[in-house]
Amino acid sequence: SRPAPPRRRLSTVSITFLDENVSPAESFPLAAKIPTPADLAQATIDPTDPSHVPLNLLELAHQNSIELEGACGGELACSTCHCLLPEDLFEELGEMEEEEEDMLDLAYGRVEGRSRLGCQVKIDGRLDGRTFVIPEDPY
Amino acid sequence: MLAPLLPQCRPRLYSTAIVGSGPSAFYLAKSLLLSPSPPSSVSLFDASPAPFGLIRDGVAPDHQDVKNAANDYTRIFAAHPQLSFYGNVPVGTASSPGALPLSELREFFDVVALASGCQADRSLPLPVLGPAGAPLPGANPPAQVLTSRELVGFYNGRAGASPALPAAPGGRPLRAVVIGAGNVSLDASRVLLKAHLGQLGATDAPSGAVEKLAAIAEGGVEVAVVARRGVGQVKFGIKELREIFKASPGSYAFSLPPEELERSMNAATLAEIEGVRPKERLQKLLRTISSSPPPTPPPASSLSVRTLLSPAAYLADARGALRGVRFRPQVLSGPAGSQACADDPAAAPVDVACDLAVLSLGYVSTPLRGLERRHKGGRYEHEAGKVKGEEGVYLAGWVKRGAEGIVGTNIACAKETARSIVEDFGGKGGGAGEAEVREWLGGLGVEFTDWGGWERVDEVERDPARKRCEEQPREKVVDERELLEIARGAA
Repeated sequence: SRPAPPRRRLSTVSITFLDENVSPAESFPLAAKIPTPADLAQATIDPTDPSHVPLNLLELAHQNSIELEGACGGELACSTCHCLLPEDLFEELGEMEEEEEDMLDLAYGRVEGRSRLGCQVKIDGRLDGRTFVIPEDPY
Repeated sequence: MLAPLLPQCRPRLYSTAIVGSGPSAFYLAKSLLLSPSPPSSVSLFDASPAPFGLIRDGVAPDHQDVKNAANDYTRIFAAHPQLSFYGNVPVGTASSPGALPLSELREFFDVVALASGCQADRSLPLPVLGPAGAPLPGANPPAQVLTSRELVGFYNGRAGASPALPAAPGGRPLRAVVIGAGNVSLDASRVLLKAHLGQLGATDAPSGAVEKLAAIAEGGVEVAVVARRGVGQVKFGIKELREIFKASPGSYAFSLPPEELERSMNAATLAEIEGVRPKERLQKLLRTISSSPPPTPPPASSLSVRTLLSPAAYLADARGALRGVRFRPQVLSGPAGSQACADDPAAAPVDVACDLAVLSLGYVSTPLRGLERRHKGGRYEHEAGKVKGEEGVYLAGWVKRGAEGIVGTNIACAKETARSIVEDFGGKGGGAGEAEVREWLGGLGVEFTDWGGWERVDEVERDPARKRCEEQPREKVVDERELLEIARGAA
């Protein structure tokens, strides 16, 4: 098992998206700011605004032009932002809301213990240094 | 010095027509325009001057979050100057004036993609029985039997949709039977319940429909959603079911008879569910609904899910007005995954009293003129979105996959079709651009409207002076002629 990460206050995290819809799979390493309470208070502004601090994996992908669909705009009404997390991180993040599980029931290539909706995974310190897989779509 | 590129040296790009302007049309257009070999132009053709297909006409008015996908499509339109919209252009039906035959489209455009959805309803021919139990001559079905298409079109303000609704029953709840166990049945039920609860105000259901439904639902609404097979075979989505369940306390009773649940759980059904997580979760919720105690005092409204009941006849009064639906209890048989139902010979018919019946049996596509022989068993034959045996004809969305899935399902579907198109046409074609398309349409005498026309309609619909309250997203234009006039700029 991984050693516990050193306790330090992060202001940014390094996140990598691995897009398996292309062959070979393409890696996108990014730096993401951890939203502060002030950033969270502005959560209602347009996530497509370049000054908006991404609050979750979906917004982060969109701001960096990564091909992660978000057909319903993060409203838990679709499963197009489906991502695979590392198993230990999935466990660390804990139980998800019923409504997220309901939509994951529709996701293609769903892996129990790894699948989350990108719009529901908030950007925080626990994501630092981790890779998030965009699974291959069904066609 | 470099000479300017002569016209004959320009790369020959393929031109694309898409029939439809709903989600599948926009996702296909986007996939093509972002592909390594994009078309010279993409022209969307819709029978209506208003685009967006089922986002506008089908998705329930209280599901604005889903309807917000239209904003994405508007963004796609704005981002691609080679994308054009032509409204008021029905395709393929030679019977309506101004209609554009498919043959003309195929001659002019290199690629024609159908994203036209399912225009027909699965039917349910039943006898009409009068008060004495004998067949009753006259309207079959009775006027108070609506298709889900008619009811949904009505509460979604589809221009020209005005079904005959039953009169308000004096002093008692409106009774409705919805035949079919899919999400559209839940939508119809939920909207009827909300009509009674006065919860449609902040939706984009048009005011005329809201008033009419509130009037007939004044005394409450009792809806029975009836499935032919068992609880294990219902097609509801868990999200949609949970939404209705969570909203029920204090508003309406939500029930599923335990006896029918138990009869549904035969060995084959249990085998279908076991180990399939989405099914297990759905069935767990259905069981929770079934074992929830009825609320006291009983609310005026209720929604009950009935199963193992197959419709056998409409029951009418002496004047032919609907007063109920007769069902025959069913038994399941066959292997897990393909169980069939049949009449239970030992069971007596079950009559459910109702003022209104809604047929929600699913939608099917009808073949366009010229493609009839490619349409078999209710579907076009295709290979990865390319219609078999036809040059340059492709499919996306419901017309390709059947009427299933959610909005997002169309994204991967469109990508597959786009890949097929690019494989076949990438780097070759006639290269028609928007100017040529407009000229060609004008030459055919087709009176089209365009995106600017839709923007005019949009502005009218969102005018605060028109709306019943601030939260209402829009007050739709429901008159066909008015819609056309606004789109033409003639209003």
